[in-house]
Formats: sequence, C-alpha cells, structure tokens
Amino acid sequence: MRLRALRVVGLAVPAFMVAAAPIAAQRATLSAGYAIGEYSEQSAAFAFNGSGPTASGALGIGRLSLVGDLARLQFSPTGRDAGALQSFTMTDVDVALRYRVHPLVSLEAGVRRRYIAPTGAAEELGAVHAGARIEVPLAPGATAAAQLGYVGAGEFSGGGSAPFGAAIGLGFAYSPGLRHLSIVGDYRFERIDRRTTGHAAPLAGTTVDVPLGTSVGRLGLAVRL
Amino acid sequence: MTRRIRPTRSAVPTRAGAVRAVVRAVVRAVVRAVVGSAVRAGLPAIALLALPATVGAQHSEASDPRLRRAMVAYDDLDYAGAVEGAHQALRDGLSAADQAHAYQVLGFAYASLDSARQATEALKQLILLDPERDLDPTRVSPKITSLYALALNEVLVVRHFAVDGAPFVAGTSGAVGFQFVVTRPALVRTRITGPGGSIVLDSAMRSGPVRIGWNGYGRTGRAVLPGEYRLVVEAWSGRDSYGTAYPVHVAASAVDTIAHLDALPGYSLLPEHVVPPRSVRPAAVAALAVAAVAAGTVALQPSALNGGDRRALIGVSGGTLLAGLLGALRRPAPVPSAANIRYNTLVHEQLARQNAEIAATNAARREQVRLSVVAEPGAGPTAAGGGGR
Repeated sequence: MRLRALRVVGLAVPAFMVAAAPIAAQRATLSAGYAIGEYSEQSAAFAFNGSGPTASGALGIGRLSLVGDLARLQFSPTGRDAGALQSFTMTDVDVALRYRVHPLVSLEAGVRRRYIAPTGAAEELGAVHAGARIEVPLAPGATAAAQLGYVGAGEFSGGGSAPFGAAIGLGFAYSPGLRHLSIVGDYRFERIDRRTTGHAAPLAGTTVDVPLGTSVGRLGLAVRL
Repeated sequence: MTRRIRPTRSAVPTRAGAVRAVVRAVVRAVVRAVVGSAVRAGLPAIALLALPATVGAQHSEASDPRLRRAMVAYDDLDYAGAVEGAHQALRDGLSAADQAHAYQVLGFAYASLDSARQATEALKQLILLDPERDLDPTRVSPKITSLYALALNEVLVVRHFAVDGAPFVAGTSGAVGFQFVVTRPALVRTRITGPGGSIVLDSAMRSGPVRIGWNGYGRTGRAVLPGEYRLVVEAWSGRDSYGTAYPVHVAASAVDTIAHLDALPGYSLLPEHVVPPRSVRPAAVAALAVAAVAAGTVALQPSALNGGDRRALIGVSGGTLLAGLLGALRRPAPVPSAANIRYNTLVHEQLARQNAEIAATNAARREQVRLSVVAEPGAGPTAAGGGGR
C-alpha cells in the first residue's frame, strides 16, 4: 500500500510540474498505431501471439517529459499446448518520466500496470521500471532510439516475486517532409524472472521459476502538437 | 661693360638747352650705332648691356609733370637731366608712388653715370617705398640689377608675402603657412591680430625666405573666430627696424565627419549554418541500433521460452533500417559552423571597434573647426617704420 502511494506521488508531482508549465514552452506528441506481440510464460509451450491497437502520448517541457503508453492486444495461444489454452486480452498501461541528461541520452522511470481479461488467462502484473534511452537523429525528421532498463515487478495476479527483470527496446521515427506528422515504430522486449511457490503436489512448497517474456512491436503515426 | 654706357656721361655737363639737344642727338646716334653693330656682330649681350633700362613705360604712371620730364630725360639718355629733374621733383614734394618713381629714375640714372653709391642710396629709398618691386632682368641691365641687389642687402624690409591658403583643421597637425622674405638678418617677430587679440606666432632671427606656420588657435587655446585679421611682421636689425601688416581673411566651417560602417571593406560575413555533405552515417547508426537491440533481445531471452516469434523485432528493425537509409539519402540538415561563427564574431567585433573609433573621431571632429586663411584680395601691406644703412 505504501509502495503504491509512493508510486502515485512520484509520478503525480512531476506530471503536475510538466502540465503546469506555460503552453508555449510545452511539447506534446500523440501517436496511434497497431501492434503485434508475443507473450510466453514459463515455457515455450505457453506462448501466445496477438495484435491490437496502441496509443501513446508525451508532454515535455525543457529536459523533462511525461510519457504514457496504452496498448490493448488480443492474444491467442500458439504453443504446443494451444488447444488447452485460452485466448485473452492484455491491456498495458505505462506512465513514465524522462529526463534528458545529454542531447542524446535520457533517463527514464515509470510504472506499468498490465490487465488480463479474462482473469487468470495470463499473469497480470504491476511493476516499476527505470532505464536509459538514447535517441540519435539520423537526418532531418528521422531518428533512431534504443533503450535498456530494469523492471522491478512487485505484483503478480498469481503471486510470487521477480528478483530480476529487464527490458530492451528499439524505436524509429521518420517524417516524410511533413513537419508535424511522422511515422513511428518501436519494439520492446521484456523479461521478468518471476518466482513463485508451488501450491500443489508435487511442487507444493517449492520455489518455481516462471519466467515471463513479452515482446511488442508497434507501427503508427505520430502528430506533434 | 660699363664703358658701353659711358658715352652718356658726355651729355651730362651741358647747360644750355640747345647744346644739350645737339649733344643728346649725337649720343643717341652713337649709342644706336654701337648697339646696332653689336647686334649685327651677333653680340646681343653687349647690346643688352648697352641699354641701361627704360623708365619710359612708366611715364604715364607718374602724376607729377616734373617727374615725367625727368623720366623722358632718362629715356633720352640725359642722365644728368634725369637726376636733376628727379631731385627737383622730390624737393617739391611727391606722392608716395611718385616718390618711388623718382627714386627709381635716380637709381637708374646714377647707375648709368657710374655713381654706384648714390645709385644704391636711391634704390634703397625705392625699396623702402615699394618693397615688393623687383626689377625685370630681361629689361634692366645687370649693372642696375646688381646695384638693386646690393641695396636690398643693405635695407631692412619684409617683402613677397604669400599665404598657403589650403584649408586645415585648427589645432591638428595642419596649419596655414605665411611666407615672406626678410632682406637682412634680423630679429623678426610675427604675430596675427584680429577679433581674438594678438597672437605671437614666431619671434626669432630670420633672414631670406621665411615660412611661419599657424595652427589656427587663438589666445584661448581654441580655434579663432572667423573674420578679418592682420599678419604683423616686425623686424629689428641693429638700429634699423621695419614693420608691415598684411590683411588676411579667416573663414571657418565645420569639419566633415566620417560615416559609420555597415560592413568591413573586404570582409563579408559567412553563413553560420552549413549543410554537411551526404554520408552513410544515418544508415550506419540505424544498423548499429538494430544490431544492438537484436543482440540484447537474444541475450535477454529466457532459455526456457525458446526464443519464440521475432516478427515484432524484425518489423521494427526493418522500419529503423529504412529510416536510416532514407535519412542517408536525404539532404543533411544545416549544422552550425563553429569556424564561421567565430569568424563572424571577430568581424562584428572589429566592426564595432571601428565604429567606436569613428564615433570618437566624429565627437572630436564636431569640436573642431576647419579654417581657411587667405590674403585679402587687392589689399597691400601697410608698412610702418623702416630703415637701412
């Protein structure tokens, strides 16, 4: 409970600072697109492919930016045991703050919440993440970005904990001569080493590794306001 | 050479008018014969020396009839008559101009009579009366001109005044030049008098051609006011003294200022942003990012999950590589040129420095006055005092 309050305050205060800045000093970007993804859990047999719409937005002032991502993907089982698995809808909500420490490098910290419907079809989770992002201008209107970060997942719907989690990402933006409109794409792979305790025989009482792997690639259009 | 003139002596002692006329005619004939033979013999110098001088051209300038008669007597080679007539005219009183003519007749006549001392004395008086007068060596015999030069050396006068009238800025290195000639070594004091009082320009021993400069400043240490001034030259040599004043006109005007510079001549500003040449860097950077993320993804993939589907990675990597490729083909964005910016900064600094100097110069020039000093046209010198040996 205390952790949740800390997360809320930690994001709300900088978000308020960004939003309260004069309009002329703010930079805002909205994007929407379509994503494909893969989700696997515990083993290759528990794998899903999915796709769905995504949206994101960023509001920046000076070196500080508030970034939000929303993705709603419909996953279907693809693994060896696909017949025994249930399709589900994954809704990912991610809010992060970025601080530019160098013209090319930003530090990022944020929270993520993943909702699964129907409940129990996959792991819901709540996590904090922190990392670095490098964004290199390739040419006027073209950029490439890469990011690497730590994911500290604290809550799982099925219980357990994750002593290690990491995410790596790739992104690009290309503006074909239009100043405010650009084509954007990004990829994110996330690994969370979840551990849980078995409840039933023969694993009852033993610690079981249940790694989660999620990759999402998005392609869309971004509008700079 | 003087012998060529000697025949005129024979005409001097005659007293009776008739006899004098006869003798005059004889002398004329003799002189003409001598001169004619000399010319025919190719001796023009002798012919020239034989002709003492003519004052006949000045007959009309003399207002006194006795003086005119003396001039006619001189022209008729009746030197004694010329001497007598000139003395008579001087005794009866003449204007200053006629006095000068009378002393010229006396000087020339005495010279022709070989009375060098008396000729010199008469010429000295002539010089004192008309210091500016110079004898034309092409019309006057060397004998007379040499006596005139001797008289000039013995009398103390200031002559041949001239002004270098080029405009100048008062108080600067420029100056107006006053030139004159002092005939004998003398203590010469030069001063200018006018609305601002009297300013001594020079006081020193001078002889011959003298040039005195004046920077246009008055007694107050500032440029003098425009107006009429007099350049007073006083000379002292032993018991002799001489003073003269030349009227000059001083005109004043503002000094031209310098226009400020908009650009440095010969230096043009360079563009501060330049377009770099195309390069493969965008594609290389994109490829590097794709490779790094792909490698990282593989490295982070849990072994238990067996890699899985890579469609998302492949799709976004393809998009990133395409963005890099298109970026490499695009015209690069202009980038700041540090060298050009530095160059432009230096040019602007230099321009500002020069304009500051121009502003300072203009401020000084607005305080300055351009003076033009010219001698009053038609106004001659006014002499005071004088003397000679």
